[in-house]
Amino acid sequence: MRQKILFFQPLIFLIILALCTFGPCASQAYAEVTVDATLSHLSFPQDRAARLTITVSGTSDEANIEFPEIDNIQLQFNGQFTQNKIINFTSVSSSISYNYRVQAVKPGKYSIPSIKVIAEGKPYSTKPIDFQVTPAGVQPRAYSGTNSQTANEIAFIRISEKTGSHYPGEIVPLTIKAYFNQAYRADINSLPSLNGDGVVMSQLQDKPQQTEESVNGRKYHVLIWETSLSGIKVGEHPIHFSLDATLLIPQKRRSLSSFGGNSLFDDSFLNDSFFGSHQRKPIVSVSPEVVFTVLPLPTDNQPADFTGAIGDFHLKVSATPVDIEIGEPLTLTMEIFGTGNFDRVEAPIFPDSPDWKTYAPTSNFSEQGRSYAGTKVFEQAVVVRSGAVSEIPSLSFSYFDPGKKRYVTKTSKAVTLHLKRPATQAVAQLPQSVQPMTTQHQQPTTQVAPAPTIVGLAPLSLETGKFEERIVPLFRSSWLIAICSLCVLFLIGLSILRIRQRNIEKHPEIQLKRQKRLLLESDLKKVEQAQSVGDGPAFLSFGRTAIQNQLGLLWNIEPAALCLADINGRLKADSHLLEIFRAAEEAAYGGATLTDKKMQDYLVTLKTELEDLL
Amino acid sequence: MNHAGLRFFFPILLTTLLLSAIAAFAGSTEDNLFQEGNEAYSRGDYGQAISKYEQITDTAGYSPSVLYNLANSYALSGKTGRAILNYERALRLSPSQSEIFGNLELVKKENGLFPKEPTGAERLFRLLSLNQWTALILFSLITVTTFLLFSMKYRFSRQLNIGVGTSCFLLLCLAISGTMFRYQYFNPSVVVSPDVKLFISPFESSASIGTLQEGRLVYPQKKHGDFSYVTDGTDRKGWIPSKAIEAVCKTWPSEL
Repeated sequence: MRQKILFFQPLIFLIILALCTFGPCASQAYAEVTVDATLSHLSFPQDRAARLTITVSGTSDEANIEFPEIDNIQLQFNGQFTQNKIINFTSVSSSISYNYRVQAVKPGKYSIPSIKVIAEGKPYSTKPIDFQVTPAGVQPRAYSGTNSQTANEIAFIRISEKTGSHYPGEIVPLTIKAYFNQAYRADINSLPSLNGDGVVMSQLQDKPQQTEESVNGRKYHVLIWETSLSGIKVGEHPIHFSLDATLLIPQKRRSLSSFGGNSLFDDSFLNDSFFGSHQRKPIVSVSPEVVFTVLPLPTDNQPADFTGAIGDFHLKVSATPVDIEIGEPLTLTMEIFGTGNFDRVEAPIFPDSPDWKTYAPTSNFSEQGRSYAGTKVFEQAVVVRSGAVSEIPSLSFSYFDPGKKRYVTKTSKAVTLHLKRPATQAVAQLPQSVQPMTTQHQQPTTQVAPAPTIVGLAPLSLETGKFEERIVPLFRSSWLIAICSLCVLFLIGLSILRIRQRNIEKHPEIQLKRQKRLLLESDLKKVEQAQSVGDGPAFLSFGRTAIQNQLGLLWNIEPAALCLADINGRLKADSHLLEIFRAAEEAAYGGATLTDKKMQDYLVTLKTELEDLL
Repeated sequence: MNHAGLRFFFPILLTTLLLSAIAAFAGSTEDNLFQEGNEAYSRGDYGQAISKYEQITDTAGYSPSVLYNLANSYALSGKTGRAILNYERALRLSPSQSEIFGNLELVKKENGLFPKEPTGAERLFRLLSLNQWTALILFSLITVTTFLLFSMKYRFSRQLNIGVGTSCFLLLCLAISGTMFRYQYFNPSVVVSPDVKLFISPFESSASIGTLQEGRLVYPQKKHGDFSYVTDGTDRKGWIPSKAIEAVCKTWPSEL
């Protein structure tokens, strides 16, 4: 008995291990794509928004979502996040959630109809969701089991911005911290939203930083978002931040984790009612109100090339190549780096000069961790039109520094050029009618040169020519596809024939064997026909021919020349073929005939013996 | 001819005559519009010329000559994006027409649309157009098939067999590579609005990562609402409003 246990223990362990290892893999392999849509609140006031989450499970590829038009409802994309669940520590299930901010233009009952989602090339649909929008100011039912002080003990928001004066368009970095008491469990239903006019907030990250802090002796889970504010209107703007959450009040047991069941930030294991029911209470976590003051930008000493850039910037200018001929384009690279509102940063203006032909610059911004810090690179093609040019003139960029409360102008050094000579021909080739750029100091935001009058265009066509219904490449033409397919089929067929031909050339015995088989089939057919009509002499005559043909090919003797003596000398005395051949000889000279049964026996013998010779 | 024969003969004859008349009339309408467009162009009335040429493309489809004249009109009226779009379309239909290529290069140069320096492989594949590479595939397939057919009847030397077979195979591989390369760039979209911003997200309120000059070629990869996710010639990627770009190859006439 003990031995049996010792034998089965490792076996059971191996089975369990195999199930753990391959079971989830198998389920993963057959996992189907599912699509689900949920709305954070089925009833919310007009001045608030709900979060619509479309979750595509079973795939890590991005899905294409087609929204239907809903009257009086505005949908705004609010980010997406991918979630990978580890199941039993052995397999991974992926899902992507797309968040949208849902806001109504007026109160009423609404329905989000079925949304078409295309995932992995297949269409899926979500179920319709009905919801209600109440008039502005009517807040969703708050946690009624506690007073406001207790509610603040459960969840609250703090922001880094105390008070201060800023300028329109200035980027003000801000840290939002949402605190959740560790003694309670809560689901986060939305990202923090800004409440107030005249100020806008940049988009928040879907995944905030998470940490723990102690406040007044209580331990809190803290979610941290790094973002920025920007004033858009001069004045004093009272603002505060709010965040929708759902408090989970355990009925039987209390969890130690306050984020255990959050669908947005974490996977809820204990959120399942299987482990004990919870009462769900909506709560709104709010921050203290602060006044965001936006001052007008000073108009005194405002540089002419100021485009609204506010922050702290640096300018770097370079050009490639610097060894050029007149008429050859060079690329002027202007890098503006630092911190501030890069949206308002425009390229430094190239001074207007008949010695230069300039083109509109292109720009590319690469951020460094935060949207308001990074480098904006402008590339501008410029062409030297005169031999008098020896350098690229210094360029300047102006911005407002909110720290110093004054305008700053950064000026680059002139870039020395080496003009290759002679270049008079190149000058002559330049279209003389091209207008240089207008004085850009007068129009700092418009850097594009006026439409050039292009000289040297080839003349018009005078015949309409042949019309085509559509522009399609040649390889999509049906006739070409047909010819190519035919060629390929022909090639395959010819290749097979060729291989066969070569094979026969290399192995002539295969051809001989085939020839023998065909001859035998033909001879036996005649024998069978003679048997079917009961013609004994013909039966024997055809049988004799069949034997001669096969033995002649086998012994390399002319078949018709084979006689009884030859066969007698080469085959064994008791050979059935010899017997049949002898009977045929006798019948040919003596006129003997055969019974039906004898013919049947001879036919079977002939078939067996002659096929053995192949 | 009996009565029954006459009963069918006359309606068929009338229908044929009517269709011929309609076809002739349609042809003459396009010719008239084309002439009117050319006259307007000669007067310097490029707006009128554009209108006439576009009437032709709307009703009769694309012809390299009409697209070329239309592109010239746009170029001289300062609409670089639409000029380049129509030159590109004309080049798709008639890649060997040097006037189209010359004017396209001139317009690009005048507007500072300098292309990225091509690599060695790109230079090789740009030696032929997409249709020429495709024709080369057909040529190599027909050659190898014909050779194989002859080799069934006539006995060629082993060296010749290997030489022709290898050459055709290499030519086929090169032609397929050339076709695939050129097809990637066969249907770009052209920025038709001036200085379009490239956004990091498909929303007007999102941050801009740069601007795209009018006339630049971009390659749309996906759409979201009114925005398209594109890659430009310098491998920059971002979202731009779909209305700011137009595809070179459109399905005609339903999508026009």
